[in-house]
Amino acid sequence: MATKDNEPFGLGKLPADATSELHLARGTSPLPSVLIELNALVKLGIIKDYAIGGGYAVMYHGIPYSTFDLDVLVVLGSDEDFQRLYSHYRQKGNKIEKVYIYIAGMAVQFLPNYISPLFNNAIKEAQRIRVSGVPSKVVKVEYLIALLLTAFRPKDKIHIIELAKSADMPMLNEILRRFDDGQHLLSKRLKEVLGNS
Amino acid sequence: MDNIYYLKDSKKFWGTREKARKAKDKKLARLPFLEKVAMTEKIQADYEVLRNAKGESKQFGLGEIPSDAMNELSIEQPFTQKDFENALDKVFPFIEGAQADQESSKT
Repeated sequence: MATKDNEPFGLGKLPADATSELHLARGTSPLPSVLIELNALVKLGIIKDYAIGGGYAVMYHGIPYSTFDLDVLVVLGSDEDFQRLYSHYRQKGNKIEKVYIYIAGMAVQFLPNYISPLFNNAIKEAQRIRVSGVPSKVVKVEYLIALLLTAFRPKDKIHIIELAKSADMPMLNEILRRFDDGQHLLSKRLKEVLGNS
Repeated sequence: MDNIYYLKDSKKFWGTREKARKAKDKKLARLPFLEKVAMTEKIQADYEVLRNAKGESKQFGLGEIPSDAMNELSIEQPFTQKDFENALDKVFPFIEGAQADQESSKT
């Protein structure tokens, strides 16, 4: 495809070959492919179960959110299984960058259930969904709020306010009662955020 | 499941992840313009896919891959001039944010 490199074009105009480059790189969602891959991990016995968490769970619960990586909470038998997961993808030739494993071009971060009982239960009680026909699981909004209260970055506070609108508050309070620390840190944080909204 | 040994000190675990996230964000901020457009389009596509995801009450195995899923994955749409204009509208706030991040990391 011929182009005239020195011909100026406005921001609204697009040179012909740029369009074709964009067509190649274009954003059709890789998410269903990633979920198929995660389901295969369950089938292979590398992980026992999983649930989508983090920014993608925030998006599932209706809040547009710019995130580049997919947080996946996984049930593993042991710490060794976490290493096995990375070995599996290393052997498959997937790109691995620090904690991220690239699956279908998407940076995936695996968060094991043994981080805390809250993570473990968030997976156990996750909601079953179908994404473009692919079966998957996503953490429930109440668990997602509890997880965001743990991280508690400025962007998490904003999302907590939005997510709380659709949350079952008695259920959220029960989750916090079960998984909060001795000083009730998560409950205090929730009050702080919702009190200021 | 009942014999899980939870992390006693998760500080190191989250510290490693926070470092990795910051390194990745810096790398993304330095991406060429057209790649940022593509990334923004991808996020928008992910959001649409999740927004249309259906809650399930019936049981199914996570290892199961429905036959129609692969068909949906192969759908390709042409990238039009209008798409590009929309992408530009979406990417500008992102670029401004990335530039602000770069500025703040310099100071």
